[in-house]
Amino acid sequence: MSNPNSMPITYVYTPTATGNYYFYIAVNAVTGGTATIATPSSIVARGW
Amino acid sequence: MASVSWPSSITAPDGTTIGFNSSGLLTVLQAPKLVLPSGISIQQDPSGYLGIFNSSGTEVETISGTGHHVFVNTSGNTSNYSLEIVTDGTFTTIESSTPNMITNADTYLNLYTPNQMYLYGTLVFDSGSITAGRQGITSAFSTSGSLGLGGFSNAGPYQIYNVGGFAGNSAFFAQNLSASYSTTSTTPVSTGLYAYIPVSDITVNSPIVVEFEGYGYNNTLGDGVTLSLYVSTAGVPAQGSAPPSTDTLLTSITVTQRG
Repeated sequence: MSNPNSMPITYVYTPTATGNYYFYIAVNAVTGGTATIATPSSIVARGW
Repeated sequence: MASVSWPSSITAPDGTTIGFNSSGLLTVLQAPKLVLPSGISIQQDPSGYLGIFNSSGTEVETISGTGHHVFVNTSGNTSNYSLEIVTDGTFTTIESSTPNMITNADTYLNLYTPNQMYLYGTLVFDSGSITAGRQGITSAFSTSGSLGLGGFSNAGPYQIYNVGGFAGNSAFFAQNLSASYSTTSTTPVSTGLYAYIPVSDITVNSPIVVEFEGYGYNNTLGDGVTLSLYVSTAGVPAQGSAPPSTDTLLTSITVTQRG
């Protein structure tokens, strides 16, 4: 197994309409091979 | 002989009627009333209701035909309205040694009765506090309107103590990736890892902070892996499914596998 790389993402999103908002992570390989999202990984969202 | 004009009858402020009866005789009919030694009296008022009068003869309280207590504004001040229910620290007022405002008579050790008390206005605690509820019920204190800390002239900030958690449509969400997920796709597919935030008309246009901490790799050296953050109002695509065109790519991070 290749060494996992830390891949942090931080984003501030401002909704302009009411509703339920789902933020999700997608993964893909760049040109080939097998891309993996590995544990431990987590997502946190904080609103108002 | 001089004549005196006299109306058929007149009623004095205390309810006494002076007039002529059907036989032409002058009569003085005093309304029945209970007069206490202090001068306070209880009698039928001019509207036909039970009235409580002070020693000056002013009606200060009426008990209407439906049993409602109506307190007369005796101050003449029409700008400030006050209804005070005050206990004197004995068991002779509202059945408790502590000040209480209750919606019906309490029973022993059961001060918090389920009856509702409606308040159409602002409840102000100048120097006190409010303690709500008893143990064992789901919602000790509930409001169908906004709950404010401080007022327009005291903006705070103020603190909320002992917050155990938020239930329902909370604006907090956190989730771990349950298991690693791999794909050979060179276009984004959902990992299934998501966070959910409800946005109301109160919180719209307020920022939502999304943070992802995690790891990715590609088993081919020199190739790479991309993780992308999408937002959707429709839901989360199943793991392995491509984001629909209606979802929005917010940002992404790509690394090239070096080892």
